[in-house]
Formats: sequence, structure tokens, C-alpha cells
Amino acid sequence: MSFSYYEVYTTSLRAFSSMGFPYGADEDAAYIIAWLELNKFNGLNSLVDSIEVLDNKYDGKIKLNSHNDTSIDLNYASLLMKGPGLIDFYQSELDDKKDLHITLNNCADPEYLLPLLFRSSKKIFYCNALWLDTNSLIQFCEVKNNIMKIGIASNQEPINKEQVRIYISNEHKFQKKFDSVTCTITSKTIQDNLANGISPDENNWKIISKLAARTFVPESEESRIKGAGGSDDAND
Amino acid sequence: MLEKSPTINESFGYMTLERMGSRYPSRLSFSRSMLRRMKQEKWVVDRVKFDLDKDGYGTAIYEINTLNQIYSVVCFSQFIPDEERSDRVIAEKWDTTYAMHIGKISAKDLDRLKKNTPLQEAGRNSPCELVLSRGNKSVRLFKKIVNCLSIGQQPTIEEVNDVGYLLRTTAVYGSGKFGLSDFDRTRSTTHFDQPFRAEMLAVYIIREFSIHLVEHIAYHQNPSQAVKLDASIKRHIGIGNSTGLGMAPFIIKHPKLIHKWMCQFDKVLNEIIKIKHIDERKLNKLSSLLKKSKSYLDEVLTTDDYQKTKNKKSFYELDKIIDYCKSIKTSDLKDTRWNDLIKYSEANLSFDAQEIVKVQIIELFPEIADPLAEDMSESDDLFIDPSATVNELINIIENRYQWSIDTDFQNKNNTYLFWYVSEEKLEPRLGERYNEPGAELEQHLGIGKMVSELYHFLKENSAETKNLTIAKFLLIHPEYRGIIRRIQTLTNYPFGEVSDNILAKNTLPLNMLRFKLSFFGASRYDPKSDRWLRVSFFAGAPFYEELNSQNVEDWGFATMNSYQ
Repeated sequence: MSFSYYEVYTTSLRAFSSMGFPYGADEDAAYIIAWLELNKFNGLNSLVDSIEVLDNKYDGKIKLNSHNDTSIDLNYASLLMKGPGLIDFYQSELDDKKDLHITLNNCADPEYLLPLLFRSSKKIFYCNALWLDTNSLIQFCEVKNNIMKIGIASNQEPINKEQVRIYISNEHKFQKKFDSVTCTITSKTIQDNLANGISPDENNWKIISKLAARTFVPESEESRIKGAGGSDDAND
Repeated sequence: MLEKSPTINESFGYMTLERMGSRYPSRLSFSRSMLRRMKQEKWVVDRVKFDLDKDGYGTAIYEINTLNQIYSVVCFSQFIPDEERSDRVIAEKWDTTYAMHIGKISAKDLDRLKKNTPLQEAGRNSPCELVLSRGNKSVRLFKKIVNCLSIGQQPTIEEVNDVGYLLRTTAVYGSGKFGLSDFDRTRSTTHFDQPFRAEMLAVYIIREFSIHLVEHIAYHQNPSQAVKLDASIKRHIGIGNSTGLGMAPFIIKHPKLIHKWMCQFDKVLNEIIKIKHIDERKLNKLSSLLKKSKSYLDEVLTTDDYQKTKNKKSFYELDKIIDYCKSIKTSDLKDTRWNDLIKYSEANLSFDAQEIVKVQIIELFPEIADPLAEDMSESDDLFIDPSATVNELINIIENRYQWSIDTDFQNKNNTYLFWYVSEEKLEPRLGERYNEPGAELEQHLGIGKMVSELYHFLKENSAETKNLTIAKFLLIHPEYRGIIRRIQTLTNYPFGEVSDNILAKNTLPLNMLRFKLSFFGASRYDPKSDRWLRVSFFAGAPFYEELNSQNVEDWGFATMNSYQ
């Protein structure tokens, strides 16, 4: 069954709101999931897998060790909660610097960086990120001018498991070579995906819809009569 | 960055609920600009299928041929018992249902749409569909006209004016709802690059269908005597619409878009007031348009006392501005500006009458207004400015949200209402916080309250915190991300925020509905409660077959004698 981006975003938004994400954090998290789903990275599947660690456990706070800390221990907290604030923070830190090298340790869900970096490319000239995937291959992504490339890049400095290295720059492109580019995201690919609609896994959709339904006020006769102020009689 | 023009409107608190509820359609309205585009680009409408039985039940398809793309509106008509006819979202059956599709409709598509469109919210659409809609018959007018036509007679225009439409839409969905094409795609790949343009085309075609339907039934009732509707009667028939609370959350959730609409309206007026003197021919035209507005107000029917009072007041007040126009001597024209008329109306007339004066002045300047009507779209993205400081944020709040700071949210009357989505077909509803369950599930629409809470929290913090960047503040207080993002973004969008507390007990949601409907181009406002109303679209507009460059623009404030 085909869904629109709007539906995936709205349903995710409601799901996050129902799980206790505050206003604003729910929008960021919904954007992450809907963007991943639109670009065929199974965002809803990732969300379903994370429900247990998210539901009523929202914690978006980040404690810095120093005022301009560039190494953060996420302690396996989801980037759905911490990621948007981190990217904003490093974007502001970039104001008086040419570039920044950032390390996230104990990061459980690096793929959530993809939408955040893509969005930040409206403000940041160039950024890239790399991490080890489950097969110990180095996943690499870079974004410039609203074009994101994602692939494998083996010839890099060593990286630890569950570590993410991010590079952001306002001036120049930091050269890294892809072994292979597995995916390129542009405005055209996004338009193509919108034209085809989104077809999430049916079971995942049911689970997220059920979470979203927790934000609806239950039916009652009083609500039916008063809530919309409408008359059921339309025979005139 | 969007320009922040010094405006004649902003200084009058233009986005208060009372002013929002006083608006009228203008040349910038979406129904007007859609029809203008249709004429300019010579779109051709063909009825390619009209497979209805003698009672008018079946399927019809209209194709709209634009320069390089065909769009199809498929119409399904079915019998429903009177007791199942409801205008509310919670209805499950409708007399007629519609989908607008990109391209010709293949047999396979028709089969799919036939299964899904009549189900509306419960069905599925594909990204090839732009609009989903439904409409119920106005039982009394529909039957009356069928009966008249079938015996070779015409209804009187007064009978038509009493109701105003044969079919009344109860929802017109687009922009990604229920699987429809997302607006980002619609805007990029179709002719409908302006907000609600596709929806307006669908509504216009539904109006055509409503006439074809009633004439078809009349013919089959009495083939030897039946006649078609006279053109002068027909034009007064619009397409009805029942609208409820869903429009209010839209206004809060799309602040940049709302700013854009207002900004364009404001730009037109600001260009007009720069004109150094008034042209006599235009002044005479304005007087005639104002007189037409008076006739409209005299004829338009509503059962709502509040609306009746507003209409009556405007009716009498328009005499003042008509007299003022008369008092301008030909010799004084070179020293008189349009702004003098606007200032006179702002000093002497109610908000409703002021709006009528403004939209009718705009009517005189298509060369200014019409290009701006083709630029009414705006991205919804809101952005945090992470490098700004907390002190700077406090300053923004003090400059732009004084109305919120001044509201006492400890007073229960100021938090009396809560906006929610019911599990019953996801109908948007409004509850009383201290009398009804569900307030913990309220939508984040109480902007004034959120701003006030943030402001008082920030003020209580230490000087050290106030010197933090927003990025650092949000690392410690991520719960404020949403409201801070909104405040920062809207710094450059002065019309984006409703400058009133919409949780207050005395909030009249109708004001927000009317604001949005005015930009759609709706007329004949007929409130049915404080939360929903009926309106008409395209009342007085030429039908496709008679559309020409003379009549494409002359149908605002249509009256019963507009067609002589």
C-alpha cells in the first residue's frame, strides 16, 4: 500500500508525541524517520526496533565536558533524541572556525545522522560522516549543496565500533574517496520517490499507527456533540 | 531573507482574531487566480464520460487539457438515505464523491478509484491523485430545480439565492492526505504550483457537474418538456462548502505560508498607496464596486445573528465611503491618494467594511495584484538560529509577543479551551479543559501560552544562562526546541502568528475559518455555530462554456442582478 510523505511524517510525529517527545523534538524525530523512509532507508523499521528504548524515556539533554567539546559519549542514547541538538550545537560552533572534527562515541544508531546532515547542508557548506556498519565496513556519507552521497570508504584512519566521526566545514571540501557510492540523494531522487509513494512494511505501519493513535482523544457522546459544534442533520 | 515591509496593516494588529474574522475574498484569492490561469492558458474542459442512470447515479469524468498535461476529475454519484447525510467529518456516505487524477483515467484507474473514492478517508489514493472530495445535495434546492426544469420552467433567482448551491462539499483534501500527491511534488511537476490551486480547479469542475447532474435528472423525469437552466440563473449557483475546526490548526501549523498570503495582500496595498494621485475613471469604478458590495450584503442570507449584525453594519457603513468618494472633486484628484480612502475607512468604518474597501481598491489594479497572486507559496520549514543568544531571544519575545506576555495564563479563562484530534475519524475538535477529559492530549496550538512560559522561564535564569547561545541552552533544555524554533523563524515573518490567545474562553474559532476561507475566495459566510459554517465558492463565476476575458474577473460580490 502506498503512503505519502505527509502521512509518514504526520503518523511518526504523533507516534513520537505519544512516546513523550516534547514539541519540537517530536518534529525533528518525525523528520528523521520520514526522510529515511522516503529515501528507502527503512526509517519506520528502525523506529519500530527502537520503541522500547524511546517510549516514555525521552532524554534529549546533552552534558558537555567542556564548553566546546568535540567528543561526546552518547552512551547508546538514540540520536532521535540527542541528534538535532548536537547538530545545532556544532553548527553554532562552526561560526568562528573553518571546520570541526567531531567524534560521537557509543552511538547506537548512526544512520539517523543522514537526514540531520542533509538538512544542515542548507546552512553548512560541506559535511561528512563515517562509521562501521554491522559487517565492519566503513560507511561514509558526504553532503554538499543538498546532494548527499552514501557508500563504502575503506581507506580511512581506524575507527572504533559504535563510533561516528563527523567533519563539518564552512570553507572547503575535505577529500575522502569512496570505494563505491551506493546511494545518491538529490532533489530529483526525492521527487521521484514522492512520485512513486512510500510503501512501508505493513506490520511496521500498524505498529506506528497504533502509537500515533495514543494522541487521539477517545470517542464520547459529549465530544461528538460539543467538540466540533456541528449538527448531524444536513438535509436542508 | 524575506522582506519585512513597513506596512499599513501591521500597525493595526492585523493578525488579531477579530480582524482575521473580517476578511473578504480579493483578486489574490485562490479561486480567482485559478480561473484567471485557466483563461490565460486556454485550458479546455471536456466531459468525456457521463454514465448516469435516470436518477443521476453513476460515474462522470471531466478532462482538463492544459498546455502539456491532462488532468481528470472523476465524479461518482450514489443514492444515500436522508438519515445518513451529514456534513461532518464523521460522516461515512455522501451523495457524490470526487477524485482529481494526473492524466487520463484508464480503465484500471477507474476501477481502483471506483472502489476507493466513495470511501473517502477510509479509501486509498495514489500519488497520481491530487484531490479527494465529496459533496452532498442541498436537498431543498436540488429537488426544486429538478421539478422546475422537468416541467419546462425555471426556478426564480430568489429561490437560487436562498440557498446558493446544488451541491455542498464537506471536505476537499489535497497535499498528501490519504495517499494523495504531496504538495512538494504537486508544486514541482504539475500546473498547480500555488497553494490550493488544484483543489480550486476540482471545486470548479464539481460546480459544473452539479448543473449537469440536475439537468440530467430533470430530463429523464420528463424528456418531452424538460429544459436546461437559463444562463442568468445558473451563474448565481455556486458550490457550497461546509467547513469546521480543521482550518484553525492549519493556520497555526503553517505560519510562514500564512505570512506569505498576508504579505502579498499587504504588498498590493503598499504599491497602490504609492500612486501619487487618483484616476477619475478608477474612482468611479470603485464607487460602482462598493455599491455592488452593498447589494451583495443586502442579499446574502444567514441565520446567524452575529453575522447578520456584521453584514448590516457594513451595509450602512459603505454609504460613508461611497459619499466620501463622491465628495472628492475632479480638481482635487491630483492631490488625493488611494491611501486617503484607506485611511478614511480605517478611521470611520468597522473592520469588515474596511476590508471591503481594500479588496475593491485592489480590484482596480490587476497589474499589481495578479502577478503577486501567482506567488503565494512558501516552504513550511522552520529553523533554529543556534548562534543567537538567550538574551536576543528574550528581546524578540518582548518585541513581537507582548500580547502573550501580557496574558495572565494563571487565569483559567485564558486556558479554558484545548484543541484536540478525536479518535472518531480524526475529527479536529475543541474541548473545555476544566470540564472535559482529554486535555493531556491537546495539540501544540496554544502558542501564546508556550511563549509566555518560555519567556518567564528565561527571565528567571541567571545572567550566565542568558548569555548562552541558543544551541547550548537547548542542549540543557531540549523541551523548548519547538517554541524557540518557531519564535526565531517568525522574526522575519510578521504576519505568521495569530496575535491572540486561542485557548481563551471567549475565542471565536470562526474568525480563523473566515480568514482562511477569504484567501480561498469563499463568499456567502453563513455560520452555523461558533465552530463551523457554510460558504459558497464560485457564486457568480462564469461556467466553463461561457468563460471569456470579460467575465473572468467580474464575479466578486455577485448579486442577483449581476447577470442582466
